[in-house]
Amino acid sequence: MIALWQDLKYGLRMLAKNRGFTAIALVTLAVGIGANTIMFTMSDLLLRPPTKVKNREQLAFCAIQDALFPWFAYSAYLTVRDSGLAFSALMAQGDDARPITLVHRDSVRQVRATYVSANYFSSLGVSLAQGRGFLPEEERVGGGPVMVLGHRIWQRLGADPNIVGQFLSANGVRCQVVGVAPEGFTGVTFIGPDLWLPLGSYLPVAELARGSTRRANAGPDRDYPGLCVVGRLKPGLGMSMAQGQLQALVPRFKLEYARQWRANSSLALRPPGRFMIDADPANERLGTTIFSLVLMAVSAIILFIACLNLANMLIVQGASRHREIAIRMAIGGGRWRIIRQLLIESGLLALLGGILGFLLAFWGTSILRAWIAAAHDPELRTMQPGLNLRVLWATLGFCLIATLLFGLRPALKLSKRDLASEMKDTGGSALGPLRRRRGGLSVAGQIALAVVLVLGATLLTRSAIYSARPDPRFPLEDKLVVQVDPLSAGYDRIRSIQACEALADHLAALPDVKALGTSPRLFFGGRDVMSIYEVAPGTEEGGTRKLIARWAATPDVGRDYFTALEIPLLQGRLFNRLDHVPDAERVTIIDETLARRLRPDGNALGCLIEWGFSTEYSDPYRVVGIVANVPGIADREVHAQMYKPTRPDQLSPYFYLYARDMESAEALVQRISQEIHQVDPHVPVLSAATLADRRRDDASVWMASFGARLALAAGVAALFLAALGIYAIKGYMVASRTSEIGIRKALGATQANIIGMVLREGLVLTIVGLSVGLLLGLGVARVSASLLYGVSPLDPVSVVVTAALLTGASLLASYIPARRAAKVDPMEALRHE
Amino acid sequence: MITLKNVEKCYKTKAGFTYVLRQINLQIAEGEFITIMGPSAAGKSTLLNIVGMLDHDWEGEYTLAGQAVHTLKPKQRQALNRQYVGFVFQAFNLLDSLTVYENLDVPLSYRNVKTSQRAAIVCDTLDRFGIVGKKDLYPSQLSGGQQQLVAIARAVVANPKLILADEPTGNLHSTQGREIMKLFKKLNEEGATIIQVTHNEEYAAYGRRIIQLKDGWMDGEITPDQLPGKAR
Ligand SMILES: Nc1ncnc2c1ncn2[C@@H]1O[C@H](COP(=O)(O)OP(=O)(O)OP(=O)(O)O)[C@@H](O)[C@H]1O
Ligand SMILES: [Mg+2]
Repeated sequence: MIALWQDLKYGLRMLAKNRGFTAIALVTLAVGIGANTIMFTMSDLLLRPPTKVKNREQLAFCAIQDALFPWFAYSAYLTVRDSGLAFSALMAQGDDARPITLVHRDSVRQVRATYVSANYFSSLGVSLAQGRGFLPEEERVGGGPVMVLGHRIWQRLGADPNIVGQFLSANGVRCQVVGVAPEGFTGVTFIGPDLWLPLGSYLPVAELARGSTRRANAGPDRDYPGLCVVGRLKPGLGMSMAQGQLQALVPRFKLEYARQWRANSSLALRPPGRFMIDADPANERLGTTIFSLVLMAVSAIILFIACLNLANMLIVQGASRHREIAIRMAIGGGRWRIIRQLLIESGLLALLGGILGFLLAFWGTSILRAWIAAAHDPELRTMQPGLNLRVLWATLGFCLIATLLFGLRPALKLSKRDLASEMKDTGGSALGPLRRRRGGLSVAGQIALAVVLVLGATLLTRSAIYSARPDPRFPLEDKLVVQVDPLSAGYDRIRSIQACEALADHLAALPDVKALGTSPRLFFGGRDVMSIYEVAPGTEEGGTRKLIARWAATPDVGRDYFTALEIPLLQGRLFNRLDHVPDAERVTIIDETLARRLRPDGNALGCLIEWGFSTEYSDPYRVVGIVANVPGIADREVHAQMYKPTRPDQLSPYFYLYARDMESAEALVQRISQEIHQVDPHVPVLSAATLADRRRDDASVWMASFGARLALAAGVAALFLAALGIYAIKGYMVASRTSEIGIRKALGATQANIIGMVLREGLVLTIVGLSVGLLLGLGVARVSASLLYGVSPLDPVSVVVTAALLTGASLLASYIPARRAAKVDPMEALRHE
Repeated sequence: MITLKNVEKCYKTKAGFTYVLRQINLQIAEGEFITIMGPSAAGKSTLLNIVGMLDHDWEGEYTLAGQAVHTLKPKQRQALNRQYVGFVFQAFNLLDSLTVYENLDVPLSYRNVKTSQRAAIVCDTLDRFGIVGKKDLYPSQLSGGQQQLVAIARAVVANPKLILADEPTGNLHSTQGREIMKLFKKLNEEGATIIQVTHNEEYAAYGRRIIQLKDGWMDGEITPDQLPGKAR
């Protein structure tokens, strides 16, 4: 024990003595371990099952396969629940893609809600942080509107400890808060909503408040959202057994829900998805696995570069300690003692490096968290990476691996060396050409690996810059998009439409506004899932239908949409007031892409087209105008667009303001709430931003820049480590060849000669590493070309930048030792002989 | 060719200044063969380094072939070194990672000799020293005497006018030593000025003048006949 303590003390002293070595090794370890911890945190975020749900593996998702739509009607859910088959508890949840406008005191925000059955929290085995879950009567239509807040939104609202019992306005409906979910609870899936409402609140909050009218003849199921049903399997019951039991219900469903269930429809059980409750985890896993594989590969490369550095440095350090070890063994130090001594030293190093790495990772993840928190997309914002115990274990694992990898081997090797020859060896050029070549090879390897990461980083950065840079043909800075929510002011549909009209009139008359357009949904390019067909004129329903385009969007647009967004008209006319009146002829304006597909000869005006999805088709529309293509906000690709005029009963709460110039656009953003408040103080403004800002906030643009930043960080880490490695090797080379350099200077070498010699040394290997890395990197880029936007995977700029960066870094890294070499005093060097 | 006037050298140590050379006054004509002798730590190597312009940190006046070295900048001194001086060391100091041929090539490469000429000069020198057969061997594959032969060949390959040899025979067997001394004699007869340091009286006798150093002071100058061994 005392011996161990001594070894430890001696190890610390050795580290303190070789300060340069220790510093480089620690930095290497810290960067290697830190980068790995960060990457591990990120992939842990993706692969980690949702927290807080008890025994998630017992949960089964009921999938309706090959039906018209895959959701359960509320009554069907009750049928399964009350059948007592297969499940010990069965809950239902209905998601609504439309956000809810939540007003609490002065704050207005848009949030995502999930509508759930009363047994939701209990069947997931979650107890609330405050208050209670939902009551059975609240699950039914007519139960008072209540809500359970997610922990995050509760904090955003001020973390009021007395929130339970208070009333908040959801889409203008007064809802009482009955509970707050525990921190980290996101429901079955990993990305959770901001708040939960009982199924009974769906009708008032999601439908009636938005101006839908309740159709009397539609049946009670219409009052509930389409449901995803998840059950907890009875103890001891396997997934397939449970699925077998449930088949008893299928004939009944086919009878009762004839419209939805087809002859070949079936009921199946599978684990619920991680991101989307109804996604097949197998498919989901593929996506996340690829993503984590990329992350893992990146961190493996960084770890590998770090290990190469350390291995080299240990060889270097070992070389200078041969004599010490030989003497230790000669005076009776056992082999095990020596191995232990060396292992303790590398273990100490790894531990210190691990601590530094963990700090680095801590710092890195807090930056990541800040980046993610700044994202506009609420779903992205819920992905908060955190250092947890698992990550901590992983870090310790990396330390252990590092210790073994770079400590054990040299320890074994050094302790085995032939004593006699060691003692005789009086220094000089102890480093044989062989070992030097191995150092050179590992430098080449490091450079190659660093090139791959740096090239990937530059490519991703270039692509992120490209996708973030607005299209010069469509200036976005002078256009505003403003969203108001008259429904949550408590207005009914008619009044809301009137309010929007009044607001639009007022805003359009502002001196800074050149034009004002409206639309029911935010739309500025992009793709959707619609298919566009041409119908031969005169044919009846079911006549000849020719597919023209897939993945098209069919936006409804209100007044002056095209003028406000500066989308030029190429042929025909724009919509006029008559197109928006009831029972007007169905007309459409299409974009150039669609026009060309429709009539390559350029004469698409007057054609009849329809949009269709799945097996449903719209009425035919006559083409009256052709406008220019609009690039999407997010991806810059052009997708076919079929614009339709809004119907008179359609609410258009999105205003597009074409401002006189950029300055007035900025000013308008500041002023818009006031202006709207003047006209109607009750209507909340949900958002007001220039299109340029909207674009920047777009999830995919954000993802691109996030990915680029991540890649950049990895590239910088790799570059730094590789440079450090080169520095260490060259530094060692210079140190071990002091006498040789002295001789050369005595023979007449100038400083320039010596610097040139050190720089040239391994130049070939550097070039080899660079070329191999570039080839490898370009190969990787080609394979993953789908990640790149607007940049060819063989982008010459990126190649040049990468080569220049690597060359610069390795030159700098060898220049410092070269300078040192040039300063060698020949007399000093020769005296050591 | 060489004039030293009041050359002094001191090291700053913890104990203060230690002089290792005091008031060295020396004149060496072109074509002379000089031996420096003296006990260990007398300052022989130090003197040789000053003459060879590896050492820049000394006081006094030193003229080499009409150039006042003490007024030159380090760079110019280095240029002068390249132009005039060839060094032979006690420990041979061959470059281990280079072959015999490459070792001979190194000084030429530092003197901007054209590659084509270099090959000719190196081959010529190998021939002159009778080591053509060894040209592709590494120093570790040679005997001590052969290594010193190569070291001398390397010292003279650039045709220096001044050869400085610091105990060139110190690590050699006596027959090998004698061979080396004969070689020096031949080089001297061919016109090179030679300054050698040695402890061996037999080899010292090859020099025309023997300069004795002691504790940094010049302790007199004798001719070979005055060597104690000869007197006996
Ligand atoms: N860098 C230095 N710092 C301090 N003192 C030094 C240094 N180099 C040499 N000396 C001192 O200078 C003195 C002369 O050394 P030098 O090498 O010239 O002796 P030498 O006559 O060649 O001896 P030897 O016959 O043993 O080679 C010695 O006392 C030595 O300790
Ligand atoms: Mg000496």
